[in-house]
Amino acid sequence: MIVYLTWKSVQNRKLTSLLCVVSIALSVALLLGVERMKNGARNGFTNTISQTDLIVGAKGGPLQLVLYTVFRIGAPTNNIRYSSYTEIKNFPEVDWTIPISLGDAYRGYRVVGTDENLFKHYRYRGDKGIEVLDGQIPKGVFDVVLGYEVAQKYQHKASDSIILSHGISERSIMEHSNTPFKVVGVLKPTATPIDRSVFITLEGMEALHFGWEDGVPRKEKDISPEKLKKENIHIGQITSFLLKTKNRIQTLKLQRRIDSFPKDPLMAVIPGVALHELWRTLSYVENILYLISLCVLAVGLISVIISLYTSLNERRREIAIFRALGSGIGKVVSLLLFESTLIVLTGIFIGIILLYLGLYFVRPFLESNFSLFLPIQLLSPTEWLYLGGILLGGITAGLIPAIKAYRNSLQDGLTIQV
Amino acid sequence: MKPAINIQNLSFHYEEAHPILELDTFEVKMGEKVFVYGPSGCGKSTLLGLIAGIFLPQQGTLEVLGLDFGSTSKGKRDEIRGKEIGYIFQTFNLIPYLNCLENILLPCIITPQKKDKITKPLEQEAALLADHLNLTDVMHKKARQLSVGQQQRVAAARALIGSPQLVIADEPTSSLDGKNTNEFLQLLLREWEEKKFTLVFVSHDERLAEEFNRSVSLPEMNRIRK
Repeated sequence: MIVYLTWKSVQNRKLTSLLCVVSIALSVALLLGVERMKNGARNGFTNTISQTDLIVGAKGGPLQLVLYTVFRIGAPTNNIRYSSYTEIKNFPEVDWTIPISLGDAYRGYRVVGTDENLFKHYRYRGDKGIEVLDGQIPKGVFDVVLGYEVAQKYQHKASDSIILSHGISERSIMEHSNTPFKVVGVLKPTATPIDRSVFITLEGMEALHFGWEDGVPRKEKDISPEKLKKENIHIGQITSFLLKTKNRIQTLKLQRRIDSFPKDPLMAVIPGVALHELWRTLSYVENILYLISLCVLAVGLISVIISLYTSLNERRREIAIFRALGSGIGKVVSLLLFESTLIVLTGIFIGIILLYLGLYFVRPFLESNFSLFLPIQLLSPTEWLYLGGILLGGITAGLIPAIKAYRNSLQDGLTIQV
Repeated sequence: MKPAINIQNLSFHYEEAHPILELDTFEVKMGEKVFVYGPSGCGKSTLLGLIAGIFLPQQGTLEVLGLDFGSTSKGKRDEIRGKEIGYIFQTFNLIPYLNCLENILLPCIITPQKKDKITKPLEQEAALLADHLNLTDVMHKKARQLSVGQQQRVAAARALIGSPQLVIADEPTSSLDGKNTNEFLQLLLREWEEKKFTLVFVSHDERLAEEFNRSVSLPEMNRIRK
């Protein structure tokens, strides 16, 4: 019956109650949304590469190695010998390797020289592999496969001819105009840096630089076709490579072995460790987002206090009536608390619905424009904790007007001195 | 038989420095209808709050319906008020968003003991009272749509439902015009004739006193003078 009275009373103050519910719902949706995006960004980040046990490159900063190998950010300082690569590749504990050769770009997108292992073994977000949307993987020396975003941006399709440029800046003056590449395929979107890369063969990477000396092209442009046959091209260096062991337990041992590789100054990095380290340095952004959503929540809770507080005067009469009709002061207070709890609960419930509706509609947009992959999943324990906190906050917010009502009621007795 | 209200040597204050009420003796017999003359500022609200068990005196005896309130728990006092005391306010104090019927039945919603007292179906009980108080036609109107006269009669019905032993009317007619005052008083007294509850009727309008068994003046009883 108390429920009935509360319901009637809330109905009587429809607009303010509704505004309260809406503000709680919005702050709940925002808080959870930020939480989802935070996790989505982190997972997207750490899941850019999976199943790879070690990333191997020239000695230097481990973070840098991960950045240029996986994220195509920054420039590699040194290359490693191809012979070192083939030697390590044939270690008995190695399952597979993916060579990566960097240094050129196509209109600002990095060119990655690699081999068919990339398409066979590269995994992201658990066990998702790279798939070709249209065409095939690069086989010939002048074959190129475009990441989804690159192809979308320049509307390239199979059999287009493109010119790669030397160096990695967007406006490179030096173009490999004497070695045009043919687009043989476009990759499916992955929401990872793969989408923003251009893939050629290791041989293609070498062929690009035929006749180059000291970073500039030699005057004469004619290169004999014989030299450009794939089997005749000798690969001298690559930038780095990804490696998976047959048995994960061997990773640390192998890492030590590579770090002390006698013929080449190599370094092996466990990607997960490096990625977490990198994410930690970015986490201040995360904290700012979190703080903002907490502020929004605080505003929502304050609106509950304000709404209950402003309705308190008109309810003084109500409270005196209830008192006269035999309800104890505790009952009056619990009526107010019940009401604020009801408002907060409804707000939370609608907020959750808003979250999922929002996720459903915004997801494709975030995935294609920001490479942010947000799975639609049940509420996590952390999120339940947030909701519990909000509920607790709401009850506390309801306590303030309830205490005020208690005081009024003590003072008023049965006569209202408004 | 114990008196309905028995007050002896009572004193009450909200703040120690400002005593509000000091009464030597005030007694109301069971079934008596008493007129209390009480202009504003004489401690009338406080006295009614005490009788209703909202406040407790700092000194003296306060017995209501045979119960010594001084030694009765707050919960028990609330229960007695809900069950056996009907209260009519000066300003009607209906819940504006409930309809007439819901307002009359409100005590039964708030105090389950009140509901248990009523043997008839609640609706029937309310309808009977409404019939006595000329409210039958407006039972499903919202309280805020009623005229002042109707509102006060709804308030009376609310106070009378479940046959309380004691009815306190706090200036029930001061918001009504002459015609409504008369009508209200006659209906209330007719209910009293029928049910013989104890009626404490407070008003600043001394002309109404002649309708009652007895008339007392609170300013004369209260030793605290303003």
